[in-house]
Amino acid sequence: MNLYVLRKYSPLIVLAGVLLLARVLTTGFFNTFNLSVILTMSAVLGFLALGETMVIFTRGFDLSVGNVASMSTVIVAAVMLRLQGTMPDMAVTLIAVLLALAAGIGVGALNGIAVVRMRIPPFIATMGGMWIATGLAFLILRGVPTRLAVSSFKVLGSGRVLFFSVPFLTLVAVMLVLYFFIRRTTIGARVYAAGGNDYAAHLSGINVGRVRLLIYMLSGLFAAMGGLFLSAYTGTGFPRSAEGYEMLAIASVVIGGVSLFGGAGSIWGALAGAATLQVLDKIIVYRGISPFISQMVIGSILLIAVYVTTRRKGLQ
Amino acid sequence: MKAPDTVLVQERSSRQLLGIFQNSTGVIAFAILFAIAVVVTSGRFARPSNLVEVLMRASVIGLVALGQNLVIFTGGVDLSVGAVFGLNVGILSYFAKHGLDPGLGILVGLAATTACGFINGLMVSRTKMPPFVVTLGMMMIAQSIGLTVVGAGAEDLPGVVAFVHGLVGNDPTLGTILPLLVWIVCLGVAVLFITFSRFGPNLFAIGGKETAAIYSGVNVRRMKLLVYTLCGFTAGIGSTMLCYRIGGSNPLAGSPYMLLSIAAVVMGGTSIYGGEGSVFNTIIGAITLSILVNVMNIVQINPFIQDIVMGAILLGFVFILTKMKQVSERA
Repeated sequence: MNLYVLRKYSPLIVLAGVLLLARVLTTGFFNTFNLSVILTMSAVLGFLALGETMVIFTRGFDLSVGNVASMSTVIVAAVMLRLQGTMPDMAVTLIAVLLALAAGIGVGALNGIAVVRMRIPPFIATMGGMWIATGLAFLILRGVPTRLAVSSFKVLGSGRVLFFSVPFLTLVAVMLVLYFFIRRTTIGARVYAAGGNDYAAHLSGINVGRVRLLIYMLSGLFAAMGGLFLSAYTGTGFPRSAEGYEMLAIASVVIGGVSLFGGAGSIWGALAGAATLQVLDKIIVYRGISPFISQMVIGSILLIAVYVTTRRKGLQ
Repeated sequence: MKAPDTVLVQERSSRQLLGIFQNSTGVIAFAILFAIAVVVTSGRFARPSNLVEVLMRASVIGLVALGQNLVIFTGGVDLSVGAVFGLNVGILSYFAKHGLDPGLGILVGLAATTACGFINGLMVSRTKMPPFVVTLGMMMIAQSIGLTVVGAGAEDLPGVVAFVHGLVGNDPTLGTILPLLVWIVCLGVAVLFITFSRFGPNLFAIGGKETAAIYSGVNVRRMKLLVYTLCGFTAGIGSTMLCYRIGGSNPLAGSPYMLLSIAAVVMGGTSIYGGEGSVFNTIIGAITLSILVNVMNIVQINPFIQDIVMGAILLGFVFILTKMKQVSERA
């Protein structure tokens, strides 16, 4: 019973642990500005981790989320550059956002088709999505970091309601919608069934392939949303802006307690996992440690988290 | 009484036919590619100096792919080879920067890459962690160490070149084709072990059905530990050969080899799901990829598009091979 509670809240316990670490290792860590930056960046990463959570939940894997997010920043910047002045800013922004989201869903659909229809192992199939997204991103703007022409778009990244930034509030809203969607609708029940035991789900008349395809598309959509907020926050579009975020997203998901064997985990855990990684990253910055080291730290944490979660599976 | 036998024979012959087709996809692709290469580059490709260049590049890819192939035989995958490759470059650069003995640097580099493979092997064989996540973690750690040691800048490594060249008595011909010789020796050793010892059957048994392998008395843990360790080792050898061949590099130079090694294995016709294939096939895979890179460089295709082409080819091959397997199973 105690073990169960511990397991359920382990992502929060880990987050509390790194916050304590921050308190001990650094001075002046807990100021409004720093915490708000951490919250905003956790939200950006949280979008990617949210999609990754759903994919991993159904025994998949998505290596393309980071590159899809980068692509989305580039698309927004490019559309704004091309269309600004020809129509009202509001319309330009809307077109840019819709195109970026559509591209994200498109890459997700390709991933899904490669995994579900062509039966390519997910980590290879989504590597394909990864290259397509990066290739497009570099082709569109020739690899040049480009400022967003519609400056009012930045409100999406840095605007705040009380203490909470817009990206964070949006993520929480999306999570709430997703939560009710999964808990209250038949499609949600199908996702759960496909994650738990796909053979049993198949026998119960659920089209598991279609559910998984849908989930890869959702992952692409969420990754693109993360990219939108990232570009709004930094004010630029750049094909490398979310480079390596797929690793961060996977690490967040695993810290968040989602089993790599599918069928177990919650959508809230990934957000706590993302926040944990952002706090750690900031500790490294505050201590003035080489940024190269942060990759090592994240890699080690990924391994430890996977070890702990797979051990658990062994205990059951 | 004869009927069942005939059916069996028929079935076997149809399987063999598919098998030949399966095994020769690499050869066919290779021949077509060679012809296209000559045409597209208007003959520049077929110059002797360029062909040597292609073979040397193939040797480096082939060395990394050899270890990757052993891992894939067991149904795993090693995503860390590129980063481990880069770690070796980082160590060699560190030794060059600080004026230390390059021979010692090569030894330390090989020890480090082998150690990375060993740790991968330990984690894969002793825990229930999936191989691609284990090696993903190792990829981040190895890359981080490589970058921390020397930074992302390229370093000239005249010491390494002189030392390795000295090993073959400074013979100019041997010196030029050394990567190829090393590749052939490593391949030879691997083939000997796979063909004439229990290593081979055990390897395929694990990839085919792990539980069955355990019950047949195969020491799965030790085998997995061994193949991942070997994979780290061959990545180190390949990396040293690259540094020798081009006279210097940087820790990020290894990153393409993750994709190249997997692609070489898959293009050779080895199933990505493990349990079948041959190390010989990686020869075709490595040379084909090398030709592809070479041609794209000659006709100056944007490097980012090169990545997309590589990715598309890998996906295409996995798709075709999986489909053919389904067809042959149905047959």
